[in-house]
Amino acid sequence: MSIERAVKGKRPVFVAGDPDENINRLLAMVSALGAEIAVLRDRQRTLEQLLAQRGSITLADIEEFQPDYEDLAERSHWQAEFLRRIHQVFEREADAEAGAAADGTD
Amino acid sequence: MAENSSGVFPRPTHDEAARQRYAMGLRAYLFGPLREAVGRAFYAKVAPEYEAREGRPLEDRREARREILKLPSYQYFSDLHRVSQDMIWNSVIDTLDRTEQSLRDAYRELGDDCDGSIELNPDLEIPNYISAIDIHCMPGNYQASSGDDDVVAGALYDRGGFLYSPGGGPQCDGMGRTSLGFLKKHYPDIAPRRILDMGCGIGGPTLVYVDEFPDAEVHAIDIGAAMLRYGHLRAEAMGRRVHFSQQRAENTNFDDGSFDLILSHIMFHETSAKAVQPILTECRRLLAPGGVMLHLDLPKPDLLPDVYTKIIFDGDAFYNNEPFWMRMHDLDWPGMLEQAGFAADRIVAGIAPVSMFIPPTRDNPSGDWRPGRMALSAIAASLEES
Repeated sequence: MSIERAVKGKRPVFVAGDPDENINRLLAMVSALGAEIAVLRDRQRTLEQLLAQRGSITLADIEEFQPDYEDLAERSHWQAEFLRRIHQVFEREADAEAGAAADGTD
Repeated sequence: MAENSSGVFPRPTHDEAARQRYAMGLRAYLFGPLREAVGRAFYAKVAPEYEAREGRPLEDRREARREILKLPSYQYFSDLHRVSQDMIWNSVIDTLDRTEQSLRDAYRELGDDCDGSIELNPDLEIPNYISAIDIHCMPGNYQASSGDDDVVAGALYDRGGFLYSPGGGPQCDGMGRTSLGFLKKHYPDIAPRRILDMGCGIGGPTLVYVDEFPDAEVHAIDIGAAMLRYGHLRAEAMGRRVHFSQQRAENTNFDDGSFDLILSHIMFHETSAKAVQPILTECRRLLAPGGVMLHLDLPKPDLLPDVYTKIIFDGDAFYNNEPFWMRMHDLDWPGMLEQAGFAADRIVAGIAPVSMFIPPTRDNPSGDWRPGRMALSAIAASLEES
């Protein structure tokens, strides 16, 4: 890796109680892991499709595989649900904040 | 994901493409379902609690931002926003790290046998509003360039920009389509012979004008050498004639009255309060009698539907390295245009509904363009015919 990846400018950190930015680092790691799972899932789907179509395949078949629009839409649908599953805890947090205020239990 | 049909951006491997789609998906998730969930908490908790405490509604966007920062779900949303931004650029850098040399070779092979042209100025002083931070958190920013064949910044902006904002289209031409719609509405008879696109980047919007006015001579300026090289490579690959040059918009080397159409697309919010007046004055100098200038930029806060949407926009300004985004709208634009020499009755300030790219489907394999929900602020002015 040679192209610069560092960003000039202060990195903001928001989560309260994270003065050492450890939660921030963990969020970045979990997000990166999520991406890698999605990449694996994509590759597996490509494998399954190619195998179903052709029976036997080469590495080049996988690398050159271009999903069609329908396939892309299905992959993107899977991904959207996957993202929601991973981040559900934050949506629940927001719902709890809204609910607690509405109940007057906050 | 719509492919980049200019043919210049290197084809990602299977896994790189999957990573790029994930980065795009993460952003779409954050600014879709999670943004909505946080918005519900804002209206159910933050706003009423503020009103109960202060005795007035929470309407000021600066106060609202201070208040929402205490909300844990917003804190996580914001941390993840930055994570997604880094992920977008990194997913594209993966491809460019692998293919950089082939891009440099492609640029070298262009040589002088081109329809358009490129003129770089290695001595150009990069303005401090550009050199101070990496705008949009893009590593290296617009000005990064190493060697005389580097095109990385442009390639990074091309693909990363699309992942950030797929509605802008895979050819980064959404802004050009948006400004052209506004121009045609307000100046239906315009037939420019010489056009200047300021802060052109890789020339995404510029090419829209090449197509719309095929007889016009089209010039495009930017401060980033690698952006311009990539823009030149791309324009040539797509068969469009553009004359690129590395210049600051405050002070160009064109003669007085050189152009009868001057454009910029979301450029001013990446300059500074000090830069706006000199750029407008330069536009006035460069315009020929009867000429038109049109600048599109991010919407004024009062165009946004509610205070929560303002907070979300503000968040981009504060935390995505866009320090001038919101302050830009505190300036007196009509006053500055008049000071630059434009007549008050020839200034048009309005809104331009954004053209949104609708991704391809089996029935419509090239995708489609529709008016989106968002609108940009537009400011235009014309000179009288001599």
